[in-house]
Amino acid sequence: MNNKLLFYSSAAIFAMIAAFPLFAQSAAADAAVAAPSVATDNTGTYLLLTFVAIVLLIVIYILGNVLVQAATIQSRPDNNSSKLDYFRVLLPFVLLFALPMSGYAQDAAAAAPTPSFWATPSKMDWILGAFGITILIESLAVFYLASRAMRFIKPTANTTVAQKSALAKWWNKINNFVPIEQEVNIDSGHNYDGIRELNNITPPWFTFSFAMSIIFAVTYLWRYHVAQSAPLQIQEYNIAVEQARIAQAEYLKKQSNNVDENNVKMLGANDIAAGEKLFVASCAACHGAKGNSQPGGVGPNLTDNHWIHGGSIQNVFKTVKYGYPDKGMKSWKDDFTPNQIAQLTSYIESIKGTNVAGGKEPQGELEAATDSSAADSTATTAKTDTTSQK
Amino acid sequence: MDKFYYDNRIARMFAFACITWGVVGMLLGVIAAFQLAFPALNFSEYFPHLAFGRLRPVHTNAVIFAFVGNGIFTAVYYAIPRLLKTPMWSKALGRIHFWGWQTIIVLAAVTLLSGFTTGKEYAELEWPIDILITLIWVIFGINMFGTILTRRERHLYVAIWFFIASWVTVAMLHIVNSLEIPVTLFKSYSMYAGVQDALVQWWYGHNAVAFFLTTPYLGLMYYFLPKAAERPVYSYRLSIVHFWSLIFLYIWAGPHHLLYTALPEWAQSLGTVFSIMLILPSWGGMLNGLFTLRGAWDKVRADPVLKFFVVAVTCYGMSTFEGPMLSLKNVNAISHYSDWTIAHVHIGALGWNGFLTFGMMYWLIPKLFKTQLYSRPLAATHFWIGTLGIILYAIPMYWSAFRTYFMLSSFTPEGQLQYQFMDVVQTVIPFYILRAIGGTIYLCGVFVMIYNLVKTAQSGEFVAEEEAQAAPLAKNYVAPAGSIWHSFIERKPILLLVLSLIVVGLGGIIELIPTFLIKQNVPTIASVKPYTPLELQGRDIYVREGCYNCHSQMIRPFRYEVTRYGEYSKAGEFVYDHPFQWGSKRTGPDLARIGGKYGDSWHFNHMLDPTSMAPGSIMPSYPSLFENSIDKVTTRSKIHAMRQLGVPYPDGYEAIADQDLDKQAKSITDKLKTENKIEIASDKEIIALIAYLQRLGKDIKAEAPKLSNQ
Repeated sequence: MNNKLLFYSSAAIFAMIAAFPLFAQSAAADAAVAAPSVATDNTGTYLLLTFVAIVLLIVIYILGNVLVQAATIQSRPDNNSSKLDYFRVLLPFVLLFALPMSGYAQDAAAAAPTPSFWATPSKMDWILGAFGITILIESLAVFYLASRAMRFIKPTANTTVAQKSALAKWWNKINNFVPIEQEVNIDSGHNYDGIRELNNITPPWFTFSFAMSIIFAVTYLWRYHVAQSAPLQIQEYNIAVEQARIAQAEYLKKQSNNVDENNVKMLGANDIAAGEKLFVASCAACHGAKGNSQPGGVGPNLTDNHWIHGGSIQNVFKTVKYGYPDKGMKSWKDDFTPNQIAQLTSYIESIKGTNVAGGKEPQGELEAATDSSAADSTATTAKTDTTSQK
Repeated sequence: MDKFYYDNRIARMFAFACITWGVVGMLLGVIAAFQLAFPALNFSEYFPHLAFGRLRPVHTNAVIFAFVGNGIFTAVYYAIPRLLKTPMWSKALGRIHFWGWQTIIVLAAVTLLSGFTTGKEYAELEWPIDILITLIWVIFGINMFGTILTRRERHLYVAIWFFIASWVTVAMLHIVNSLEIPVTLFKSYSMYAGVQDALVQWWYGHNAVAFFLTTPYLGLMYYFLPKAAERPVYSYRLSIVHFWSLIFLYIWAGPHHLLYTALPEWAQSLGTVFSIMLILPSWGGMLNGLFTLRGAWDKVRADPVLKFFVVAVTCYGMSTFEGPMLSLKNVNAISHYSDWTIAHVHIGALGWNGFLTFGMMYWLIPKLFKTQLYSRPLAATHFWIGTLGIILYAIPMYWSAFRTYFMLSSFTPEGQLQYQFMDVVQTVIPFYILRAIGGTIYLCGVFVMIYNLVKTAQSGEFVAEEEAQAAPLAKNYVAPAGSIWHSFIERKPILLLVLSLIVVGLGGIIELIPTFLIKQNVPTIASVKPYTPLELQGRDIYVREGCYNCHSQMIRPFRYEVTRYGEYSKAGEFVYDHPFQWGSKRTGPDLARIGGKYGDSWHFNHMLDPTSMAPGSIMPSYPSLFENSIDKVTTRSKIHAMRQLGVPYPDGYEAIADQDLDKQAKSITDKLKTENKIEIASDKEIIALIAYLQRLGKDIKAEAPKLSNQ
């Protein structure tokens, strides 16, 4: 017990490991309270994940060292000198990280009915990438330790037997190991089918960390259910929604994106093309890729002049935005931005009355084939020769 | 000195069964994994039996109860006689136990694939099999205790403490969670509903992991690891501390499977804090295992048995640290319903259970056949293949989980969800393929082992009866001065049994009883009404096809879930759900409020060919629903059973339920015909399923349909 300082410092490290969930939890709570500037802020989560990653790294390192140190102490020279096959060890990693990439490459290459994930790198991607690299480093750490152990296990000529590293000494100290030669002093005398039991004390850090985890438990219950200084799940939800509302309002103030069913106007050719893409990705399942549905199809034909909920650009915008759930049309306002809905609406207006063959029979009111968008001076192309067909 | 013989035949029988079922269970896992990437492998055009929703429960049950179960029994029937210096109490009971357990496994596989299921994870087996399990478990217990009570060793070794605690706790969990009202020979309804059912189920589910996959395997470790290492167990004191703390704390942790759900938050918090307190007791087992190897690491180099044990114990340490981390609210928000959970359990199953079993087999089979292992290099190769398999399995799942979370929770600055659910499905498919490859590699390792073990067996000669000698116990025993108080318990097996039961019972009672008795825990909602007969039939089809394996019915109070799926779920919405169907994994989207979101024809087309309505979907198709007729014979007994469970159908409703059923079915088929030109007979199962799906989540908006007689 001459090195108490060493013991307490190591105990403190383990206490930190045991206590970190507490910090993480409050850190995340604080992050939730601090007003974020972007709606997608996940700082608390990132922090926590980083914590988890670091702690896992420590754990891996410690566990690996059990192996390595013990091997250092115990290994003896051997004739067998076959080397660790690094290729065999590393191949899976190469495969592991190469395969998903090629998978995405294919995804991206395929014509994109779903938005390509890699096309729009965001903060999220960077964070994700960072995590991927962390995991890679951690995996490599495991393999590094394993290969070090392998070197001892299949020793080369210069294996040193007697020397203990500082780390090994520290490790022995924090676990209060009894040297193997002195084991007889702590033999419990038990013998079950040849299995003996030693009576080592529980490692001091074990007892200490266990106590810390109990303190964590009491504190946690106290905070949430007695002091109520941390938000319960519904409060947490309300806070998140309110923050998002404020952030969204501020963002929209700066944007010209506040188009709605009252002020929507027919957009130009580029926007109609964008709308067509959205339509193929999300609407084609019910309304057909060309918007004409099919006989007995789920959604109505959008290329005729019959409209269930009105065919004017305002009405179509409203239908897309709010839906008619009882008729099977879902609301898309949480999936698409107002601009996107305007693009979609413009596309639908552009195919109105084109009567693409093979479509579903008409439903709803026949509306005059008058060109509702004729009034819209912005509509220029993509809709010139359509009205004459009927 | 008494002379007696250990019976090695029963150990060999269980060992062979363990390996055989291990291959079956893992193979099913590999198939299920590939099904997620390639939906055609569900073969649902030809028959409904192999679809993912039915196959996955067979996989989980096979691995847990057949592979690990037979592994436990191998260890018990080999180790207990030797630790107690007596043969097993009854050979006949041992044989009944063996054949009974294998019968259960076969029945389980057949019934689950045929769609007979209670719909509660890892407890899917229907009531006749539940009863059979109870009988066989009792027979096992009698045989074990008969052996213990006729022992020639005064004190019980720590391995046996773990076996006893496991036996009594599994009995308690199985009986409480399986309480159900039979409807027909192969259909029953859980006694509990909604929130209560969820709590009981995850109290069971979590502790199936604890007391089936963990504590008996700790017992296994405590016998085979010191045996193989030929080293003394590191710390007797640590054994005592971690045994009692582990079994006491474990039982409380179940609610961590239900964080952010409609479960009362006090129960959720108990689940969280007890999980955190579990870290060190769990690590006690790991430390005692690893530290026992002090002074034997030179053997680890040469002995594949010890290599397997080291990785197994290390995986145990990793997953028992990870588990508590997943129980923290903010981590659980990410991991729940995601592949993270899948990765976590497979670190445990492939690493801890798998590798410990393999290590045991490499040690045991040569002993049983009185020979040396056929090939150590081959065993070492298995070790590396297996390790590689685990890594290739786990990393893609972690990655996919984070990706999924970030995608599902992203909003555009305008406040819209950035990604559709389908984008997420598309993005994880490459990870699913990698995972399936990882699993395949792991399985290949098992085949290498089988070859090695067969060769080993062929090179030796089986020792059916092993002679041993020991003195009988003296009648009067006086404990030597200075012996520790705990040794008193070690001399009294019945006391140990009772104490274990009290210790594990406590947590269960404190968490379960208030949830049942105190009204505020499940606030009632007046507009929530019982299912109509057609919807009830549809719900049973939903359960039968195992939809809960991929779809949850529980919207958590997060902005990104409420925006995507609708208002967060309330406890009062599930009061008529026998069993609850909250699910634990979202391979597909949540369905809690699917009712009314799409039209009937959407569901009709979607079940016939999911990709027609949702391009890129990996859901299997269900053509058999369009051919099979609703089993109206059962309507009466189903309504009756529900009434017995307290679901408020009007008096005598059993008799007229089918009229309501026909009426509702006809209105759906009429609508399909007039609006969508879809012709279908109104007695087909698809109609019932549509009715059920269209009802989900509507009651809270006071849109429940009216029943006759009301």
